[in-house]
Amino acid sequence: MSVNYNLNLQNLSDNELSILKYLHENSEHVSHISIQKLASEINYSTSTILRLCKKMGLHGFPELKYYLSSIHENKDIKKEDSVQIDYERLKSNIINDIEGSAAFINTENLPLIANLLLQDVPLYLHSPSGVTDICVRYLERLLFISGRAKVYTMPSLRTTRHTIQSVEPGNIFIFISHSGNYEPTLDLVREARLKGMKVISFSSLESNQLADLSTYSLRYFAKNRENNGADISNRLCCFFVISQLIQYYNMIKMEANDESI
Amino acid sequence: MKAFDRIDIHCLSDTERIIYDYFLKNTGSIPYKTLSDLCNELYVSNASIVRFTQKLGFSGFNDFKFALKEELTQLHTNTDFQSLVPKNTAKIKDFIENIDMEQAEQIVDLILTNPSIYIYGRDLSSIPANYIHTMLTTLDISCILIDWKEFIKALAPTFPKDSLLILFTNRGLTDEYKMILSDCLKNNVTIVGITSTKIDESDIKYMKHYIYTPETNMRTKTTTFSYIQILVELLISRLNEKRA
Repeated sequence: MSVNYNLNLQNLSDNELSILKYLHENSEHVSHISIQKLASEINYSTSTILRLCKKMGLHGFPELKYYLSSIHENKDIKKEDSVQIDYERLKSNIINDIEGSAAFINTENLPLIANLLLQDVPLYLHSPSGVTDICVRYLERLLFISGRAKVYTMPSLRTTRHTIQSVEPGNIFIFISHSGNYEPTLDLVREARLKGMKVISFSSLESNQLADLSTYSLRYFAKNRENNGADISNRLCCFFVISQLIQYYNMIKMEANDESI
Repeated sequence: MKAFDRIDIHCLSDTERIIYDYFLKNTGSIPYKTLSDLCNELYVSNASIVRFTQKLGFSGFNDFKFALKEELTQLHTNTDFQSLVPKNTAKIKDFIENIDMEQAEQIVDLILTNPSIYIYGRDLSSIPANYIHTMLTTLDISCILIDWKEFIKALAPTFPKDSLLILFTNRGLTDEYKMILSDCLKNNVTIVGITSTKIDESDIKYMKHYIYTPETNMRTKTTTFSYIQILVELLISRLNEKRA
């Protein structure tokens, strides 16, 4: 059985995206319950679940459960091993998120985005505040290390808006937003698209408007998490997806340089 | 198979010879087996198999499996593009699986018990330094971020006694860094070093804990971020236990 975890997210409905996220976050639990129980837990019909199974390359729900249960080894947990198992679970949660994100880096999108970056066109990075800003600065530095010229980081919403209104169509704007639903960012993206800009976005797997509005989007797995209102969602997979794009960009650049010699 | 070319079979231990013979005989099926499968079939430990693949020049079992699969399916260089992400993922997975969790817990203990925490990283290392600083601050753990070498040089002699310094570097310890760390040690500062290049054995003495986070391909710090995430997850578990 080969599971098509590399499915094109554009082909999934909002419902199917939500189910996929639930499966990823609760894989051990789902591997032990019936389709009816899953349907009642997530408030979707069994036929929606079955349709997703088919898109994943599975014949039905039993195969999905088999696949999910094969992710989890060490089913017979001895009490004295419980601390050890917690470490294993902690590591495997992180690994699952990375593997899931790797599978969802749509291989059609990567070459398209990398080739877009290869063009001699100004690139504007919108820099919001907070943890996401660290991801933007990471992307900026990797672009500089890769020798990409004309990379401009915009320090505020107002500056980004002003730039969108004043530059030529065809420029590239990059937005990173964990939720993908932050209204001030979405306003900027809509305006950028209206003005003929190309928009690349990075956001988490949750169904979100940012991905829908962008020319190209890259997604990553990350659970939303807060500490008394402060965001402590895991950004590891965002860093991972950015690093893969930049490495891909460097490979394409090298190939383009080789061909021109 | 090219994957086995790097080994001298006359230098193998008995256990390694068992693993090597099995790998030669069952090359086609190995890419589809897990580490547990092989341990059960060969009656050897996980660690023995991982060490053997590292002896072959790979970062771990997953990296070895990936290389073997590539050789078996005779992929050509133009599919380097297709294999980039899976290959990097395998290397990061190996790194995470090999993390010493006992050491990570000890570092978490230091973070939770030290009243003064300094985090240093410059150039590309400033990004993971920034990330851990933000996560700790959001978890209500106060810490100070330093991203200029001149700052840490000036502050090192005056760090409060018994502070904790988490140091991120790309390269080994230059003479200038050794002077800074010596100043820290005079004030009984505990140093945790996280480096992307292996440092000399003789320089490890400056650090209470030393973690090597190898780069997967180009300099991207993905394994450094992975290690930080492990620390953050352990911290969150410990803080949740306290609240419960």
